[in-house]
Amino acid sequence: MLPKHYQGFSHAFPELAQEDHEKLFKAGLTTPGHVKKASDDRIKEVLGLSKTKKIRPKVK
Amino acid sequence: MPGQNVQWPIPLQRLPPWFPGQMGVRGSDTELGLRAHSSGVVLYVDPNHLNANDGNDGTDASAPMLTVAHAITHCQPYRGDVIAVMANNGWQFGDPVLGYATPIREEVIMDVPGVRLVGVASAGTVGVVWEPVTAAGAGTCITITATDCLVEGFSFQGAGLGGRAISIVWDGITAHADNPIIRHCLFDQEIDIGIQLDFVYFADISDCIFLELDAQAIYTDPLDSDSAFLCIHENWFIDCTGGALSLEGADNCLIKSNWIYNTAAATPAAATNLGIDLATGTSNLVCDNYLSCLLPVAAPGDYDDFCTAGAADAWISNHCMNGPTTTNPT
Repeated sequence: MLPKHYQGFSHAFPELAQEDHEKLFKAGLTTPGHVKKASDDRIKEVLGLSKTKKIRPKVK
Repeated sequence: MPGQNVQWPIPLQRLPPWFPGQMGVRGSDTELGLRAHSSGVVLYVDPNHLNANDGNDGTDASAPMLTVAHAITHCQPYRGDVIAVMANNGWQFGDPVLGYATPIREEVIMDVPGVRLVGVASAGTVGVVWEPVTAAGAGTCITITATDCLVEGFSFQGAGLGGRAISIVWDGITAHADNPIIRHCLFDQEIDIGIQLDFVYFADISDCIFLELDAQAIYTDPLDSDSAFLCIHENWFIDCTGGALSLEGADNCLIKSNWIYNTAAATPAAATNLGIDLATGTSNLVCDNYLSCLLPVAAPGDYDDFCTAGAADAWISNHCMNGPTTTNPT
C-alpha cells in the first residue's frame, strides 16, 4: 500500500488495523472516500461482518 | 486584489532564430515565440482573436488556440509548459460593445503534470473571466487530476449556471493531483463551490477572493477523502453561504492570515461553522486570521459558533471583532 493511502485510511478509519486497510485497498476501494461511498454489502464482502461493524455499527 | 499579482511575463527566452514549422499549421514556424522554461513552450489561448483556431500551433500569440482544452492536449509532462489565456471583456459589468466580450466558457481537465495555466489580464484587478457551461450547477470549470499544476489569474463567474470553479482530485489510480497551486483568482457570486479538494496533499491556495459563493469557498465533501498539508493563506472571504473554509477532517494544515467576513456572525447571529470548520481533523495550525465574529460569549455567531477546531489543533492569535483569541474554538 502506498504511504498516502495508509495515512488516509488510518485517519479515517482508526478502528481498523492496517491489514484491514490493505484489504480495502486491494479490493479496489483505494481511498477513504471510496469506502465511505461503498455499500454495506461491499464492505462486508471485503472485511466480513465483525470488522464492518467497527466502522458501520448498524450493519447486520 | 488577485489579478494584479499575476507574475507575467516571467523569465523568458527567445526561441532559436529559425524554428522548423509544420506544413499547413499556422504559427508553427514563428520566430517570435517565448519560452518560460528551458524546454517548455507557451501556448496562447484567445477565443476573441480573429485568428483563433485549435488547428493553430498555439505558440504564436498572433495565431492563438481557441480553447484551453485543446491547449492541454499539446502539453507534455514537466516540460515547463505554460498555457497563457489572454484577457477578455467578459466581466459581468463591462461594456460588451467594446469587443473581446467572449469569456472562457469551458470545463477542462488538467491531466498533464507540471503545467501552469495562467490568465494574462493586461490590466484590472480580477483576472481573466471564466464561466462554466453546464446548467443546474453541475459543471466544473477546471478539474485537476495531475500532479504539480498551477492555476492563476482567473475570475470565475457562475453566469447563472452555478457549479464549481476548481475541483482537485487524488485517488491514486487515475487522479494524482497533489501539490497544486491556486492563486490570484476571484471566485464570484453564482459560483457554488470555489475550490473542492478530495484527498489532496500539499495544496497552496493564496491571494484569492471568494465573494458571496452560493455554497462553500474551500471545501472537502465529508463523503470524500480528507486532505492534508494544505497551506491556505492571505485569502479574502465574503459571505459564502455554505462557509469559508469547510475542511472537515483536514490534517496538518497551515491556515494563516486570511480575512473572513460573514454578515450573520458580525450581527451577531447564528453562523455555525461558516468561518473555519476543521471538525474531525487533527494537528492543524491556524493563526493570524481575521474573523467577523465576537470572542466566545456562548451566543450565536461567536467564535465558538463560527469556527470549529480539530483534535490537537493549535489556533494562535486569531482576531475577532473585539480582540485576539486565546483558545481553540469548540
